[in-house]
Amino acid sequence: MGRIPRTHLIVLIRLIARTTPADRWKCEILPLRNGFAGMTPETREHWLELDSTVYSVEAVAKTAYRLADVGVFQIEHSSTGQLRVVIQKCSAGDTMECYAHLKREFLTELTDQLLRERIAVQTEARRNLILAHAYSSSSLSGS
Amino acid sequence: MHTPHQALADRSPFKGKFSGPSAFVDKLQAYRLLPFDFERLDGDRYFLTNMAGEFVLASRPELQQIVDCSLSPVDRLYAELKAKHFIESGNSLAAPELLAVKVRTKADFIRRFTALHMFVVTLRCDHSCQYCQVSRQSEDRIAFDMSKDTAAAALDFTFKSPSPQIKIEFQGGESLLNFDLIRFIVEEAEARNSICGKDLQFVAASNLVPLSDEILSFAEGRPFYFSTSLDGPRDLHNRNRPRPGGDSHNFARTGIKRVRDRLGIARVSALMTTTADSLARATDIVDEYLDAGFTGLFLRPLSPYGFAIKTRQYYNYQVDQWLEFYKSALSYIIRLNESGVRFQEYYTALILRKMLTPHPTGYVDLQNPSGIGISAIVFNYNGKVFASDEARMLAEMDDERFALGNLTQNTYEEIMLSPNLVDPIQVSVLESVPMCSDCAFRPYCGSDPVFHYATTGDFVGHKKFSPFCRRHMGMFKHIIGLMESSASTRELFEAWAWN
Repeated sequence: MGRIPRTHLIVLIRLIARTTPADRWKCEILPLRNGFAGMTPETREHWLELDSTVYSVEAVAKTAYRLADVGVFQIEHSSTGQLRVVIQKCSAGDTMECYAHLKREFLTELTDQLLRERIAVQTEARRNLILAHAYSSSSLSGS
Repeated sequence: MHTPHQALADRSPFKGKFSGPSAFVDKLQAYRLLPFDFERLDGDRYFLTNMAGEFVLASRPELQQIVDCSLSPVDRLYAELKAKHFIESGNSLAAPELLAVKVRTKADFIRRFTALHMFVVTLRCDHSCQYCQVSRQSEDRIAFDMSKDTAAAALDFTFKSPSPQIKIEFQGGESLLNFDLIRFIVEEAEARNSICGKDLQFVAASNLVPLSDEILSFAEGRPFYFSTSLDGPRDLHNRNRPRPGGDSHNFARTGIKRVRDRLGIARVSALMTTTADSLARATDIVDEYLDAGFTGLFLRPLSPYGFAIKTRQYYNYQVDQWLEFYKSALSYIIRLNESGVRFQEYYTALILRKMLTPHPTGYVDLQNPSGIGISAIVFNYNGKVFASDEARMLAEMDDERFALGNLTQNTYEEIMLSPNLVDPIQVSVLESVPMCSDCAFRPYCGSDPVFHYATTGDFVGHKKFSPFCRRHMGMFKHIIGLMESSASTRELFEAWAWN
């Protein structure tokens, strides 16, 4: 995925299932029509800035998806090109503690997503080989 | 760290004469990862599964070590990870080949294809259960009976299945109210099977009210089984399952006894449905099943179809409340087993079979790809074919999204390749579903596109808000916790899995 135009801030991450593993996660970037109109000054304070050379948009989006029941997240590029996650709503309550807890949860889950990415990259060829073999009648060793 | 290998080396009579195990590790032959997924259980504990569903528990630092490929062959986890095909080393293809065989074994239900064929022989029913998933009709509405022509066409379809096992299940309404048709179907199926030679079985889903000596005589000497409803003690069962004249419970218990006395104990099984009234009665329900002579029960939540929706029964409790009910009943069942009473919870046993054995299960709800159509299929009384019993229930609510065709108008190929079947199966394959695609519980779970369509309007839904996902995640984590916390429970669960 190329660099996201700054004018196209992510409002919603629409995760579209694909039937092939390679592109099973696709982030669709939708333009933000109303700017920050829906956000109060308070919610704008709850955000995380992430180094975009360390964290992929996919990993951040997957994290937001997994935590969708406890918070509403807006993912955008900051003016310096970093990834920014704004916590628009914390389901557990509108308190500093809740937002702080949610930030920690987000970072913990994000770290797990990075690990998942590493495993997926390292094992993709093996996964395809195993699936092909499992669902065919041939043998890998030819025996 | 003092490893078991080192402890052994310390006690060895050759101590000092040989180097320790670590000296023999080929540093150039570092291991590589095989595909696996992981899930955080709580805090620092992680649950890892390989592609075949074998699992390993690890701490966060251990998980990091695994992925960094920095585990040493003398580390505690190394042997387990290698034996279970989470990692491989050397140039051999043995590990991926063995793993592929395991994956293939788990997916064997796809090769076997449709085994369960449900014949809705009538919609008539004398009961008026508030949670009924079918839009039943009153007893005198024979317009809702299946005809012999339709039944014959359904049998033609059934015997086209490549499955070596064929189970014909009679559904309703109350199936035994149309016993003449059941007799016709059974005799016709037996005649066709004399040529096909398949493993043929019959099951009548029934409240057992119409059970007669004639029916029992017919079932005798045949692989003909009865499946009934038993919701719990008399007051609970009768409240859930009202009928004219009342006392459905008495009919169920008497019917169970009559079947057993005449045909044998294994010829009748029972299912319970959890209503809001059941939630505080977990031990009473288990006791009722024990009292009725059963050696297990299936704790089944309400489904979002039919009268359960119309009467809003489905909304009367939340997933978390059902999970508490489930945990309470399971805890009681474990205590019973510890005191010497042999009793299973079948839902748990199904999951354990997926977790602890290499075998697949025939349970359609927990299949991936979804088992709709390809594991079980439904012939409605009017000849319409549906992808599952739940799909038929949805159609009774005027939504025919999973209607696959009509027995009198469509061929086998047209029905089995219907977009109404292929699309939901394809779209809901868990490997391509957000969140499921990297979930460690995926090998144990199912996709259930009918449930998600009924509750969210699409085949997948958002898993974070899916009652299906929440329920099963809760069950998986609870079962793992129980196995971790007690060696005797682990032993008991092993027995359930292999039974």
